Amino acid sequence: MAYTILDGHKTLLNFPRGAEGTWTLDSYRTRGGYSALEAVLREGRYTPAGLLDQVKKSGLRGRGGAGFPTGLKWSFLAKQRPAYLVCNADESEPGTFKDRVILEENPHQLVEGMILSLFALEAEHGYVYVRGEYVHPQKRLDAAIREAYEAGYLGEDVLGAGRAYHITLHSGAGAYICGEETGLINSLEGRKGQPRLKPPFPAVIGVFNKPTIVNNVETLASVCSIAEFGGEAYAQWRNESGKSTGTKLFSVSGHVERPGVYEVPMGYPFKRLLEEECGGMLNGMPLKALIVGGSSVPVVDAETAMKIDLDYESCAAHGTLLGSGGVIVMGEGTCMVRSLEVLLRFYHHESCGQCTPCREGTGWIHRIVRRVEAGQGTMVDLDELYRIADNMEGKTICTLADAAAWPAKSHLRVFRQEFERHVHEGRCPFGGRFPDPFHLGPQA
Amino acid sequence: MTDRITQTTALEGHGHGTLPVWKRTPEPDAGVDASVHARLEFSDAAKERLAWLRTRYPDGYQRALVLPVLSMAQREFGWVSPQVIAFVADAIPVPRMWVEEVATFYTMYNKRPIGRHHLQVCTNVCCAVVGGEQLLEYVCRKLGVHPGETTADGRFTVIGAECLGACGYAPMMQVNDDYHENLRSRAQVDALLERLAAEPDRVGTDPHLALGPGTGPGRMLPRNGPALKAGGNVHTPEGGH
Repeated sequence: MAYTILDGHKTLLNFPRGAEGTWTLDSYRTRGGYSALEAVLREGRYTPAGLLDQVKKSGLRGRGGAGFPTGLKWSFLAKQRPAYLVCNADESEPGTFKDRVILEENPHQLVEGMILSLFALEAEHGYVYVRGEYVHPQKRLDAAIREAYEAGYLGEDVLGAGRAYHITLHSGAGAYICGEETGLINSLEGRKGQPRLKPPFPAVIGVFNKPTIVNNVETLASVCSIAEFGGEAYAQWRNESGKSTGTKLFSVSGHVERPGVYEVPMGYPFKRLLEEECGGMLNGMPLKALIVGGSSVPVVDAETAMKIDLDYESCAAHGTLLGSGGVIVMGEGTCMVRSLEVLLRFYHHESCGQCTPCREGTGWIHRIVRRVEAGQGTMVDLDELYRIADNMEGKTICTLADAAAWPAKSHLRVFRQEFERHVHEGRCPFGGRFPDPFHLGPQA
Repeated sequence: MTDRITQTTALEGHGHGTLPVWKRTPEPDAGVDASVHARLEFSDAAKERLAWLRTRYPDGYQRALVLPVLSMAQREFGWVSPQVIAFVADAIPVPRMWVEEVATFYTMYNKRPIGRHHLQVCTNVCCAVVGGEQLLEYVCRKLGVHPGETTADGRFTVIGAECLGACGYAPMMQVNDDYHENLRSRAQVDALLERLAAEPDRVGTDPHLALGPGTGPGRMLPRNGPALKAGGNVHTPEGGH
């Protein structure tokens, strides 16, 4: 294969699967951990502006879902000090569980990445906002932060370089909307996690009324590789056709033999990820549908799925988005109306209630799909569903409404026949049930 | 408690001529006995953590303590009653409304007592396609409850949860703080429930993280002292964005 990065080279999951103790400082150091930080702070490998330049050159794009170029985002940070760096570890998009692996198995790489980022941004204090349910990941990260303080990587005078760096772990309490960066900022300030109107953007006025950069866990952990190998080397990690750079974590769930988190270079073919890494479809069932980037990106059918290379450009060319890399694989026997109903229930539940199109719209479209699934829908309902979803898009403060509208519209577009079958037959052709491959339900 | 009048959405039947229906709904805490929270006091460890928390946020932004302190209070007192809300508000101190709005916005604050073991079965799509809904049904049937209910002996509360970030290890359920993943047979579920039923104490609350990040015996993070600068701006706690 035409990868300029060696196959199997890992930058984030740089340890054997299931290995013990990878989360400790000793283990991280044996893998070359904190060498980039020492080179930067002790040997002066980069100035802050120089490191920011490397991040720009690397082509790194935000790994949380939106894919905004990280270096560009950093360059917007206002000059006023203090400024804050906030790590978004609120991972709650259905299908996404990649950050959890970093927090649990490799938390020191996040800590090092954050210190390097604080250096580049000329800020002192970073907060990590971890979702409240992640008690175990919090425990690992908490221990890593403590070890970093004891080893002198955090504190008032880090590595004798005369610079102070601090990281505080802050736990959420169960709200998907806090993954939106201004919702997160409000939550960190102790408010309801309702997103803010922009502008002003967080880079100008963010947490505690100060300039703030919010980045995803994977993005910040990737900064270690950029500081270690240089931005240009990082930018080479891709396939020939792709413009997207670096490696990316993909969390694969659903009907596959070996679900889990895999790190591959950008542009890796989905077909290869499914067949080689994941061991193919569960029990050999045929592929029916694929959600490639977490539950809010448009769904694609099996034929399109097999053509997708996992990068921003290829996903866009095939009518979907790379998103957070939460790959949800659905095999034959899955009712697409039912799966949409579950997704819309989620978005209705998680709408923060600020904007009318989202607060009301998510409920309307959920109830329509629920009615269609129950066999009580009409053809008018299908048009209404599309119309309401279309009207929700782009009308709200944050993109939660879009995140509900995209799956609704794409499910309807790609699997229209299945919706019509529900209407015409007056029932769910799949009996209103999901597949039960592990026989947990009532036995026939 | 006074009744609250709410309007159900006119589009419940999706618009086809349905008129708004006005109905009375009870207060969310109606019928909940909060007498156990008549006298509240933080443990010494919690007091120490509260003092430490104050050093981690800039001066003048004590509102940032609402989530961590309320979470800690829930761990200390079991659930979040109106008394706990008032207690937390006074401890920080911030207006009670600021704590109440947080307690009602976030799903992890339990506004009524829960069972000793809080079973949260994920039923979002990634779990559902491999049997998450069947798992919830099975657990409920075994314990003789409906989702959202607590068993008569107070040992188990079961609910269907939204995505818990364990999609690749489905089906799964969270028991208190612990994730139990890859529950891929009834025998596994049976064994887990039996083990929990025999457990006299609440399991899965890690003593090292009993109160939240940064705590536990000998685990207190170094204090920043007053090094955190609040910056030059003068602002009130209400000073928004």
